[in-house]
Amino acid sequence: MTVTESQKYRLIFLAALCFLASVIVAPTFLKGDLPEWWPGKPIKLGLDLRGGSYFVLHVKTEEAVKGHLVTLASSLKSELRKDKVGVLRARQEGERGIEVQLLTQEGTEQVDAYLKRIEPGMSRVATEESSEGGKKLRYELNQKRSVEIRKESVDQSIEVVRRRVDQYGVAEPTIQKSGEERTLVQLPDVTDLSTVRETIGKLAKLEFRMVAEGSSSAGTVEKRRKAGGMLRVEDQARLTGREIKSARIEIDPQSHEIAVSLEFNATGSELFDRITSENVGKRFAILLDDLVYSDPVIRERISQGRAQISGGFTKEEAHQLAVVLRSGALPAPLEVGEQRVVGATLGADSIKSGVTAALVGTALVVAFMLIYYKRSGAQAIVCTVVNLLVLLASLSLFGATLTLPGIGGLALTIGMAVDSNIIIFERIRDELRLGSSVRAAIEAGFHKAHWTILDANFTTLLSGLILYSFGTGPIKGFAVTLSLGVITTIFAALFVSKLAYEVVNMTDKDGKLSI
Amino acid sequence: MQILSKETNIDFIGRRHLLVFLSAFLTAISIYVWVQAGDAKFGVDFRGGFEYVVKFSGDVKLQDLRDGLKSGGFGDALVQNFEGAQREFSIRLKADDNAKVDETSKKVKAEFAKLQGVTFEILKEDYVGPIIGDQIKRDGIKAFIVSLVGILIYVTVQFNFTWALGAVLALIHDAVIATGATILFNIELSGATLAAVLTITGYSVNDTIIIYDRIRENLREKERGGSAGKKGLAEKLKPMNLMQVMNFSINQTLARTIITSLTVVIVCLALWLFGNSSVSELAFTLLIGVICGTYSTMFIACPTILVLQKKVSTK
Repeated sequence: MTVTESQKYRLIFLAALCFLASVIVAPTFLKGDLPEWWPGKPIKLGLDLRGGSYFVLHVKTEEAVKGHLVTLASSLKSELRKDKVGVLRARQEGERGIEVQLLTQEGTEQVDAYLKRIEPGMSRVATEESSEGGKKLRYELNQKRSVEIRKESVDQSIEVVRRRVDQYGVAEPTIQKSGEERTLVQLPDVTDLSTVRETIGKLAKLEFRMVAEGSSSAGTVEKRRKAGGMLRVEDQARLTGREIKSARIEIDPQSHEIAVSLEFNATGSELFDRITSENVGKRFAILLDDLVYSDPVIRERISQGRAQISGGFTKEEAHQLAVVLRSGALPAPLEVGEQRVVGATLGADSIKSGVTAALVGTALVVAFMLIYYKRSGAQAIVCTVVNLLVLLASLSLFGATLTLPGIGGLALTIGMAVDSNIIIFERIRDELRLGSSVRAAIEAGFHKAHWTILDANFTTLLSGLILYSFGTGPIKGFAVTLSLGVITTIFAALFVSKLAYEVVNMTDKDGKLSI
Repeated sequence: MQILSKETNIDFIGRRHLLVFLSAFLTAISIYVWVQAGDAKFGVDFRGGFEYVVKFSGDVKLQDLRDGLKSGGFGDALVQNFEGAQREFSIRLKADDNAKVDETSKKVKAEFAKLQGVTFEILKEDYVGPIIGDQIKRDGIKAFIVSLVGILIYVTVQFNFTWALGAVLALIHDAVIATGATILFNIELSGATLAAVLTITGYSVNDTIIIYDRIRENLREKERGGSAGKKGLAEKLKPMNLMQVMNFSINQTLARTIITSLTVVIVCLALWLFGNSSVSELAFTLLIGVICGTYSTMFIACPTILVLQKKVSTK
């Protein structure tokens, strides 16, 4: 049998491709037996095959803006008092506002000036006379700045989550931004979320509020004590966790009491300095996630920007707190939008059944092809094997994740790939029936089937791409194998199949085509 | 081996009235089943809320489980057990707006723990909150519509608009019946179902295109009076009207149509019977869809073209 130049090159190309593909695919099947330098890694398994958890957290960014304004209001009040401006109160109001109540008609310019300096995004939107004889000023944060703070809080939250997850030593965690205000977290192999998620989502909302004095309940709120009972505190925090720079666990050597020692950043230190100097002798409460941990008396002005919380922590609580504080407090609360946990048992089960199903399906198709199309059928099978090989290699190369539906997609690709060969074969049969010679029938068969194959596979590819863009998780995996499968199928049907027919003698002894 | 060694001459289109009626009937059933099943047909992806798939170390009575959950405050839980097994159950809970994911999980697991004499293992647990649930639903609908529009455009470009309408109508028919069958077999509608439906839309139109292709080729040969080696064919086609050409084309490609569907059906059967959870569900919907897809070209797409063409020519 003589081979033309073109056929020779094509054969070499095919052989090289198969070899390369085998090399890439090998790690998936022969995990431990390959030497270190072997290129390629095993195919990534999706959570539904590996077991693990996946969750999407909504970052409640409105709270981040509010938190920012709470601190702003607090420092505003402090600053005004320092400059002897008669301010009754300054508090965060609504989604983006601050309300300042002045005792007299004076002071508006100072408030304006201070805010302009510290937070240029604020502008005065209302001025009214207050019933107590002074002025009520209302300021609002502009849209642009609000959006900025919200964006920052999302990025910050992701960072905090990342740091917290890191401390759990999860293998290959995925933490990424998903859309405007969401964080996507994937923790392979972690199936018990009860402690992990609590830690990750722990707001670590740290607040310092002055304890309410006097009997008036105006401007105060009741908060629960960790040790039991309630405490009345001011309804706005003076200082929040946003001003914390770092935190450490300290164990008192004598009492063995576990305490958390905090260090403030520049803004925080300044604020803390002022608060403590203005309020010596008064009590202030330290709250963590809305629980009062302690309410010590301010004995003296503290200018170094340090504070300590001790409040009857258990070892576990302290540990959790350590993880949480070391990674920084969350600038905004996180809400679970979606969560999926797959147990390892189910994962292993799925792999087994998925692979079995795929193999059974493939075996049946192979058997059918051999019986129905005889030697041409055998060639179709070789074609399909190459198809599958290239497909698996592509998956590995692109770092695609294989999911349970993805395995289904592989099997489906085989079923559909065979279609392309069938189109060609039936065309060839048609031509033979019309009386063409073997050679002519083959040529005509491929030629006519060309466009039909492209046409037919194109719509499947279109579906696959749409599925990919709209689907999530396991379904995306299906879409990937389906779409890639279509491409490799077209290649296999038009290139490999043709080459096989040209090169391999498929006629039986009577010179008739074995089809 | 060939199953159809002689040329067949089944009058598909001629019998269309009976089969369109059958299709309409199946479609009606599917719609009825859809409406009847109400909210419970949706899996957690579309319904939102929680789903727990739990396996016990021993047999547990469905009623005991239900009672236990009810006492824990989960009276409206949907509890199902998997075929045959008295040990594996799926429990679905609706989530209200303030659902605390971890709290609910703890409570539910506590109820499992209370069951006498068995230990439990959570195989899988899912939660979909309202915001993301809405998004999944919207995305699902969008994906389906985009698919249909995409195919409409594609087939119009390749053939013409009337033919495209026929193809799309056939597709919708396939999707509806496949979904109906899925609900009937007590399979939750989930992301996997959607994936199957989208795959059906992409795959089943292949079939339609191939037959359309043949019809067009035959129409061309008829016009042309036959190209080289095809004089005999042209002779045959000359006296035929559109309906007869369609019939002829379908019969010509019948072997191919059946075989290509067969290979995909074989794979789907294997995946459905041997696979588990998401792949099995996907495979079932796909199976029905592919079977429908095979005959929908003949009995929905082609008749639609005939009806529309008649309307056009009588205008």
